Parts: sequence; structure tokens; C-alpha cells
Amino acid sequence: MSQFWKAWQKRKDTLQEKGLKDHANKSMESVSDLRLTTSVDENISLIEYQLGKSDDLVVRRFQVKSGKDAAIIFLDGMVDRNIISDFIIRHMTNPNSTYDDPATNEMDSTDGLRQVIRNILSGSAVLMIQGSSNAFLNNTRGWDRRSVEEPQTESVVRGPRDGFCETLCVNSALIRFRLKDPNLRVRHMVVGQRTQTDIYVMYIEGLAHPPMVQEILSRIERLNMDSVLESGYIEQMIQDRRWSPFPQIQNTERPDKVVANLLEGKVGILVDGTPFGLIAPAVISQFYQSPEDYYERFYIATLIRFIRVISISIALLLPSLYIAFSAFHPEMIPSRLVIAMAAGRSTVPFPSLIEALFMELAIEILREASVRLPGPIGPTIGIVGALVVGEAAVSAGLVSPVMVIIVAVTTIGSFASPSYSAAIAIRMLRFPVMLLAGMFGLYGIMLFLIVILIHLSSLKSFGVPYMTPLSPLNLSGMKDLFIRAPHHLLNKRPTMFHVQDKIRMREEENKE
Amino acid sequence: MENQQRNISTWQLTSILISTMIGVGILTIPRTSTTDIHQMGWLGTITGGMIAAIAIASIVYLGKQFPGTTYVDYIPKVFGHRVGTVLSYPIILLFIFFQFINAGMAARGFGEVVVTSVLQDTPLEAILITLFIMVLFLCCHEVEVVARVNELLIPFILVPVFLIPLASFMNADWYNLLPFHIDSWKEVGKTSLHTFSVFTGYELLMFYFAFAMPGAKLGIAGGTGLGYTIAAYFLTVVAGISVFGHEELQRLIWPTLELVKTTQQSGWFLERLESAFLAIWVASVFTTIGNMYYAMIFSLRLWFRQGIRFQRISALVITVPLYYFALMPQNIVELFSYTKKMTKFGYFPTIVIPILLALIQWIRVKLGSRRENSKKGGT
Repeated sequence: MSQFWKAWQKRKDTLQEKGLKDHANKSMESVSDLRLTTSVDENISLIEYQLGKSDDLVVRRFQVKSGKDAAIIFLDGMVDRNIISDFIIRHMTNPNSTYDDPATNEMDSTDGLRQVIRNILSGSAVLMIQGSSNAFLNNTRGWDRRSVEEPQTESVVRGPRDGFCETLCVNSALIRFRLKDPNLRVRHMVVGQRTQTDIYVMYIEGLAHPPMVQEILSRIERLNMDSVLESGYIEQMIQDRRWSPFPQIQNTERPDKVVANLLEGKVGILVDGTPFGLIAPAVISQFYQSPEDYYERFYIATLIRFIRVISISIALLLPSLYIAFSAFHPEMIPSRLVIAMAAGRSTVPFPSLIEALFMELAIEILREASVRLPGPIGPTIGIVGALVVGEAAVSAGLVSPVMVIIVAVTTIGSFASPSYSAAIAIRMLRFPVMLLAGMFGLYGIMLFLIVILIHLSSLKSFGVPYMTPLSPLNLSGMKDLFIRAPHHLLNKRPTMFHVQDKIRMREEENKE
Repeated sequence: MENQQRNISTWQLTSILISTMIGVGILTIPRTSTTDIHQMGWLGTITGGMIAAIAIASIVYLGKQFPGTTYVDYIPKVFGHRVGTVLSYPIILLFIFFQFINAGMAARGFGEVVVTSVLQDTPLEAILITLFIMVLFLCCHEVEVVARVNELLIPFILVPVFLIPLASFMNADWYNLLPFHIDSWKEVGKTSLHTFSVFTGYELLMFYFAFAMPGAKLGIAGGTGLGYTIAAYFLTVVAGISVFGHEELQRLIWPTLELVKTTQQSGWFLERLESAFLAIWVASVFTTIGNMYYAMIFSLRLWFRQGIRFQRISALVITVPLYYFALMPQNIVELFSYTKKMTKFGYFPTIVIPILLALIQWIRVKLGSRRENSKKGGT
């Protein structure tokens, strides 16, 4: 019975794979699916017609050693010319050679025009020989690529320094290099009618929940867009709730983070042309967890997590708390502080809400401008903007000194989150809280928090509730939520992602 | 309806129970429980809780008898097919109406506290409208979201509720609790019927038990939830009596709020805590009103066998009468007399009906098993 079941499963899998492959071909619909002919000249004119006689299309004609006419077609700049000259042309024209096909390491042959066009566009050199309707597709891709560098947005003190780059195969190799598991599965898909972007969906078979993997694959498959220029396109199209301010798929530049998440039974998505990979499903812990937490000793890792949680709350709430306290509940502030604050505010002509909005807006402008500024003058402008304008605004009586401190702490707090795109949500939500605090004081802040909490509870990322393991309460997940338990206690995988192999390490062998 | 998703865990049920019961009542309970039996008022919370315990036990029994069904669906089954369908209409209506007025009164009570103690310049209407908008937003979601929101907010409810009595014990005069003596047991009974009103909200379990995941322990959820609530009320009343004495308590509108005011901690970061307490307490009031209103709207949805769209629209429509109802009492004195009337009306849906239903069902099961036994004997 189980034999039969396995055979059935296998058949289903192959059918599914076939379906996915068919889909990849389907998006080249504008090219008519003709067969190639046996004449080289006819084939060349067919290809040239389909590509509109683009001037970067290179056609190199030569004769193979048997005297037949042959031609290589490729796009200029997308191929490694050395491979073509050494292993195709020189090899095929060498009279001593005994082989009839080129000596490239990755080769395929086809007689379909559509596939030929697709391969030329993605950097292959297509070799055609007179008298054969089969074209050789040689993988000669080789354009200038950025080398593996340290990630810009997620730097760590301790941990690997390599980050993803723009080339898909390098990125997937960075993951394979860390995870030599034979069960690591990579599914290739092509999205974007015009951009024909390659996408790798990676997961570990036997860990990832099969329905979840299927759901992710089918959502990507169903995408019908003409371009994918960055993984953000995929992220925003396949997430569960498109109107939510919270990212429901995590993005990262770090291969070690992807590997760690694959090992928790999640799914990684790599997109060609961008150093940002995606991890699904994502839960609330993405806001303050960093791979570094697992590399350092657990005391400091736990402490740092607490600091991140505090700084995120500061980034969200501090300006509105200032508004609420100074406008509605001054009795709560210690009396000496309230006198000092009143003295500082005595020259300020605006209510505290306007004051706070004005300063927060100023700091957002400064932040956005400093991203755009050319490298060397960035810090200079930062100093001018933050120090000079802040100091001058206080002495001009536009804002109170306390407000400057609050804005500074808020801004720094928002950058303590290891995930930039998660912190964006927090930075954005700061403004509605400030408005509500200006209207209702602490009651308004609480109103807003409850509404956000309802929204967060209703969010799901590929079937996993966003607030897990806080709610629904998952005790096995709590060990790695705010505290990072020592590794020997994390011997089981968190169950909230429905992992199939729950054991991470056998305890007996790791006893001290 | 059987095809509803059943995914509320035991802990979520417990938190729904606690957060529904602890609401506006905790602000007044030190006063209401000491009116008749004076320094022994803390006894009222326990005896009131015992009454609730009987009702909760019968609701748990019903929930176990009809897993996956709400009261809307099982009331007809309890009474039998034909009679039950006819009888169930007034009972369901009664339930829905009770949830309506309970939610309205809770909202009004909360608005009254906020307007008089913290936001003096804000109109009551603004507080009510914002509160109802929050509740409406909750009603746009499925039941599992309600369960998760309760689960997430339960620390905001439990921590202040236990912290404030404990902190105010610093100002306690323990002689206020003496003597341990009861004048008349009749007064105790009267008080426990009064204080029982602060436990209302548990009848929602007749609704929320239907969504418990298979294998969830309903009895444990009911027991722990009630236990925590009784403990919270008990501590609050003891703190109230020991700090103020029962005579002074009668002159305080919201004794628990006064308790917060007495626990000033100079040298801490915050000087006075009542605004913070009220802000955190919003969570507790919101869960009370939200759970009640949600159960009411969802019952309507089940009753008319409609989908989520009906739920959203009816939630929006019914907010309007709820808003007017909440504004009906002209002042705080009238509000308290309304609450008293509501308590008396509430005995029927919260005690009588659950116990009656459980009894009938119990007899039914007994008769049924006897009939089965006789059948077995026959063959």
C-alpha cells in the first residue's frame, strides 16, 4: 500500500514539475513556436526576424571540420567570448578533434524556435550546423557582475561577511555552500512576460510544510505581470494582504539568514537581478531578530533583543507619549521635570502636536536626503542638518529642547531594527499615533495600539498567523522569541511553521 | 453551524472569559459589595463567583454535549425539534438584547469615567464614537481574530488588576477588615446577587465554546478564568476596604480609581498613575464590549445563516442604536440605576437559562440512555 502511495506521490510531483515547466515556456507567447529548418541561413533569418534585427545580435559564420556551414548566434556583451572562441569555434574547426558537438560544459539541443530565442536572450550562444534542424544551446553566460560583497543593509559584528549579489546562480551557490543537504530543493520559475526573470524557490524537503510550499509555488505561478525588476515585485504580489502596512514576507541580503530560515521549515525565494532574497512565511519576530543573535552567547543575544524591542517601541511611541503627557497629562510627569519642560516650551508658539509633527517631518526629510546625497558629503550634510538646524531651531524658539532630544532618540531607535523594511512600517505608523495622541492623549494612543493589534491578529502569512508564537500561544516558539535560549535548549524546531522533522539535535550526544 | 472553523485553544478561551468578565465593574465593586455587609464585603465577591460557577458549569456541560455549535443552534436541539424552534426565538432574542444593553452600559460607564477623571474637556460622544469604531473594526474579522486579540491583551488586563491592589496595600489599615462577623446571611445573599453583576460576560461562553478546537478543555478554561476573576475582585475589594474603610467607600463613585490615586510613587519615573491606569484599562473595557458585541453580531449572522458581509453591515447598522442607547442615561446617577435594573434583568439570560438548558439536556440524556438500555435488553 505504501509503495503504491509513494508511486502516486512521485507521479503527482512529476506532473506538477511538468506543469511548472510548461508555464515557464508559456510566457514567451509572442514568439511563434516554429520548428527550425535544416538550412542555417533560413534559421538565421528566422531568428533575426523575431528579434527585429537588433544590432547587438552577433552572427558568426564558419565551417566545421567536415566542411558544413555553421553559425553561432549570441547577444553581444552577455556571453563569455573566450568560451565561444576556445571551446566552440576552435574546437569545431580543429581537424584533429573527433567530436561533432561543441565542448562547453552545459549544453542542450532543441529544434524549437521559441526555446532558441529564449536562450539567446538569456545569454546562451546558439550553434547551428547545416543539414541538422537541431540547434546546440551552449550556456556561455558571462557578463560583468558585481562580486560577493558585505551586505549594506544588514551588517553584523560577528558573522559571515558575504551577501547576495545580483546574479541568481551565485546567490543559490552561496546557499548551497552553507547547506549541503541533499533534501534542499530548488524550483526554477520564470516570471514577467517581458523581463523573463528567473526565480528560484528553495526549500528543504521533509522540513517545509508541503501545502505551504505548494501555495507559494502556485501563487508565483499565477502571477501575470510583464516585469519583475526586484524581489519587491514578487513580495508585494504574493503576500496575503496587499493593503497592510506590515511586510508579510521577510527580505534579506544575507545567505546565512536564508539558510537558518530554511532550516526552520520556511521557504526562500531568490530573484535574478537583485541582492534581496525573500523568506516566507514571516512573523512578527522579523522586526527585531538578527542572525547575529545565534552567533553570540545567549545572555548578550537576549539582552540585545530586549534593547531592539525597546527601541522599536520608542520609535513608534515616544513622540506621541510626549504629546500626550505635555498636552493632556502633565500631572504624570515628575514636577521638577514638568517645570523644566514648561520653561523650555515657554517661547514655543505652537501646541506640542504641531511642534512634534514639524520636527518629525524635518528629520524624515533629512533622512531621505542623506540617502540620496553623494557619498563623501553625506555625513557633512547630516551634521549640518541635525546639529545646526536643531540647535538653531531651539535658540530661535521654534521647538523646545526636550523635543529635539525626543526626535533624535526616536530616529536612532527606528534604525536599531535589523530589518529595514520592517522598520519602515513602524516609522510610518508613528504619524497617525501622534495625531491621535494630540486628540485624545493616552486614550488615543491606546485606541491606536488596539486597532493595530486587531489588524496584526488578523494578518496571516501563508497560513501562519502573524503574531505567532505570541498568539496563538506556542510555548516551543517562545524559547526563541524575546529571549534567545541557549542552543542546547533549542533542540527542537519551532512547531509553528508545521515542520515535519521536529528534532534539531539529539540531546544525549550533546550532554556536557 | 458545524462548518465553522474550530481553532480557539484552551488558553484563548480562558483569556476570552477573563477579559469579558473584568470590565467596568471592577471600578465600582469595592463600593457595591460593601453597601450591605460592610467590612465583610469581600465575602460577596466569593459568593457572587459561586453563583457564576454554577452557571459556568452548566454552560461547560452544554458545550461538551454540543461540540461545535453555538447556543443559537443547540437551544432547538435541547427542547426538541418543533417546540425548540419556537421556544428558541425568544431566548435567542433575549440573549442578543442582553448583550446589547450590557455592551451599551459598559461603554457608557467607561466614557463617564474617562470624561470625569482624565479628559475633562472631551465630550462623552467623542469617547463613545471612538470606542465603537474600534469595536466595529473588530467585528469585521472572523472569530479566530477575536480570540487572538483577547490572548494578546490579557497581560494588559491582568497585570494592573493584580498590581494595583498589591501596591495599595502599602497604605492599608488592616483593622478596617475587622471584625469577622456577619450580621445576617440574608444580606450576604443580597450582596452576592448584586456583586454577581460584575461576573456577567461568562454567558458568552455559550457562544465562544462552539469555536473551541477539538480536544480543548472547556472545564479547565471555565474554571481558571473564573478563578482568576474572583481572585482579582477579591483582592480589589480587600484593598478598597483596608485602605478606605467601608463607610468611606460608600462616598466614592469609583473606589478602584481612588485606590490608584492613593498609590503615588514619588521618585519613580511617573508621578501619578491614574491616567496610565485608565489608558491601560481601555484594553479591558474594549475586550468586554468587543466580545459582547461580536458575539451578538455573530449570533445574528448564524441565526440568519449569512456570511461575513452580513456581519460587517449589521455591525455597522446596529452601532447606531447602541450609541443612542449608551447616551440614554442623563447623568451618572441615572446610569447606576440603569445598571441595577440591567442586573435584575440579567439573572434570566445569565443564570436561569443556562441552568435550565443544562438540566433539560441532562434529563434528555438520562432518558435517552435508559431507552437505549431497554432496547439493548430487548434484543
